[in-house]
Amino acid sequence: MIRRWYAPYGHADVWRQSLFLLSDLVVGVGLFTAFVTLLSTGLGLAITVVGIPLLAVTVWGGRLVSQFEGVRMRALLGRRLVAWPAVQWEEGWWARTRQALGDGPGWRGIAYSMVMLPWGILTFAVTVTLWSVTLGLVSAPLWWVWSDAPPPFDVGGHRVTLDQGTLLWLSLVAGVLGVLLLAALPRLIAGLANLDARLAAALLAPDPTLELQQRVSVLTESRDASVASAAGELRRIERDLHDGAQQRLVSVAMNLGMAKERMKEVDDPKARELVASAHEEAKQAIVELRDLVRGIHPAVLTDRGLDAAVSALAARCPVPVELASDLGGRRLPPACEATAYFVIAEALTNVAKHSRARRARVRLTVDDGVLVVEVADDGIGGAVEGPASGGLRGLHDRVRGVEGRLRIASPEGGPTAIVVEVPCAS
Amino acid sequence: MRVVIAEDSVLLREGLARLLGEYGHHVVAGLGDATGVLAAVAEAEPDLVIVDVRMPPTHTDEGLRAAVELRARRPGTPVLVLSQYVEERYATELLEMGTVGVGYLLKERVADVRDFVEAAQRVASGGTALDPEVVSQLLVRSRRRAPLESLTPREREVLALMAEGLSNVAIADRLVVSGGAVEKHISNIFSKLDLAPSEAEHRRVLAVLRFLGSG
Repeated sequence: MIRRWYAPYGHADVWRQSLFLLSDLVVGVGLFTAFVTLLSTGLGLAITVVGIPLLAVTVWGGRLVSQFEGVRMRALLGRRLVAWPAVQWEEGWWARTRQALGDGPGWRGIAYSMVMLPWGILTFAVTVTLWSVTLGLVSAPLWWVWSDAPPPFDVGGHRVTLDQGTLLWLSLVAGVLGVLLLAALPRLIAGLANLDARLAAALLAPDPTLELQQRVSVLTESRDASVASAAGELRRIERDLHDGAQQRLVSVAMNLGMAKERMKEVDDPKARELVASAHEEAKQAIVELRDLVRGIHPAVLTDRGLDAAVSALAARCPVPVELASDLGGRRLPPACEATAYFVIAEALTNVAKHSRARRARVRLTVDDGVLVVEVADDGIGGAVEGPASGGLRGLHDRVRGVEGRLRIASPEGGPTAIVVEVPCAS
Repeated sequence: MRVVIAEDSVLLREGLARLLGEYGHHVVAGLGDATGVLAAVAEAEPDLVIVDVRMPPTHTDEGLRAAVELRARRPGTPVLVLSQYVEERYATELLEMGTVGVGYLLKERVADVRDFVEAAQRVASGGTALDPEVVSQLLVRSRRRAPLESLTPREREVLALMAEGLSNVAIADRLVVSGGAVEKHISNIFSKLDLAPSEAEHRRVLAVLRFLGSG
C-alpha cells in the first residue's frame, strides 16, 4: 500500500505538472504585459491610422496564445487543446482588419492572458508552498539531528525553552505529517493542473460540438471520397478486363473454333477431341469472366446508366418483372447508380431464389435529389428471417455507405416490398 | 462476300478478318473507330458491315450510332452489330429501321465460328440475326404474356429461334428434329399468336418481333 501511495514519484507526471504550474507565472506575466502594452498602445493610437491595424494584429495575436498554450499543454500535461478552425481570410486589407478585430478566438486569447496573471501568481504560490512545506516537514527529523536546540524565546510574555526531548517529539510529528503530505502532494498538484487545463480549454478551445461538426464534415468528405474512389476503381477494373483479358479470350476461342473446323478434315480423333474441349473451355471461360465483370461493375451501367442496366437485370430474372422508371436516359452520380443497381440485383436474386413469386415489380423514381427504388413481389414473404436475410444485410451495408435508407416489409405469407432511398444530388 | 469491319481491338479485328477469310470472304476495310464507317462503305460498297458498339473516343455507343446513321443514309446496307452486352434499346433502335439485313450479336458469339459466319451470311443476304439473349429479353419483357403462356415449351424454343432469324432448316438442325416437325410447330405458333403465316423469313421475323413488342 505504501508503495502505491508514493508510486507517482516514479512517474514524470508530478514533476511535469509542477513545472507547468510554476511556468504559469512566467507565461502569465509575459502574456499580460505583452497584451496590456499592445492594447493600450493600439487604443491610444486608435485615432491615427496606425492604431487600428495594430489593434487588429493584437487581436489576431490572441489566436497565437491558444497555439502556444496548446504546445505547452501537450509537452507538459500530455493534453490536447482543440485547435480553432483556420481563418478564412477575406479579400482586401480593410476587410481583413475588420475581420481580425471581430475575431472571437483572438479576444478569448486576450481574455485568457488577462486571467493568466492572477491565476499564474496563485498556481505559482500554491505549488511553491506545497512543495516547500512538504519537504520542510519531511526533513524535520534531520534538522533535529544536525542542529542545536534553539535559544529560549518569548511567546506572549512566557519564556519558552525547548529541550531536546520535546524537539525530538515535535520533529517526529512533523516528519510523519510530512510523509503523509508527500503522499497527498501528487494528487493536489494533479488536481490543480487539471483545473488549469480546464481553464485553458474553456477560454482557448472551441466548443466541443464545433469540433464534432468539424469532424463530421471531414469524415463525410473522406467517406464520399473513398466511396467514389472505390467505385472508380471498380469501373477501371471492369474496363481493364474488357479491353484486355476478355478480348484476348474471345480471340483465343475464335482461333480454337477455326482450328476445330479444320480438324474435321484431319484423321486424328484424339487431337480433334482435345481441340474441341479446349474450345468449349475457352467459351466457358468467356461466360465466367463476363459474369464476374457483371458482378464487379457491369459495363452497361457505366455506358448507358441505371435504366438500361436495370432493364437487363429484369430481363435476366426468371420471374417476370414489370419495370417502371421515370429516369429516362438520365444519369445519376456513379456511386448512387451502383448502389441502386446492386440493391436491385440482390433483391431480384432473392425474388428468384426464395420468394416463389409469380411476378415482381421494380420502380425507380427521383424525387427532390433522392432516388427511390422499390422492388416488390407477390411471393411468400418472410425475407427478413428467411434464407435471403444474409444478402439483405449486405444490402443494408451498401446503402448505409452512401447515407441511404433501406426498408423491408416482408410479413410471413408475403408479399415482400423493399424500398431504398439513395441521396443522389448531383 | 465483301466485308467492312469497324472494331477497335486489333486482336479481334484481325481475328475476324482471318475467320471470314477462312470461309472465303474478303475484308475490304478494317477500321479502328466509327468515324470512317460511312466513307469506307461509300467507297467499298461492301455486302456486309460489322460494327462494334463500344469504340473510341467515348467507349460508349459510337458504333451503334454509326450503324443507325448508315442504315438511315444507305437503307438496306446489311449491318451486323457486335456488342459486349445486350441492351434492349440498342436492339430496338436498330430494328426500328427494319429487319432486313440486320444483326445484333454478343461479341463472344464469334467463338462459335460456324454459327457466327452463318449469321453474318444471313444478314448479308437480307436476313436477320438476333442474339438469343436479345430474344430472351424480348420474350421476358413482352407485354402480351397471355398468348405466350399458351405455347408449349418446344413451341417457345422454336419461337425464340425464329426471332433470332433462323430458317426452318436451321431450326430443325438446331433442335435435331425433322423439317416437317418444325413446320408443324411454326404453324401452331402462328395460329396461337394469331399471326398471318408467311413464307419469307424476314417477314416472319418481323411478325414475331412486332408481336414481342420490338421492331
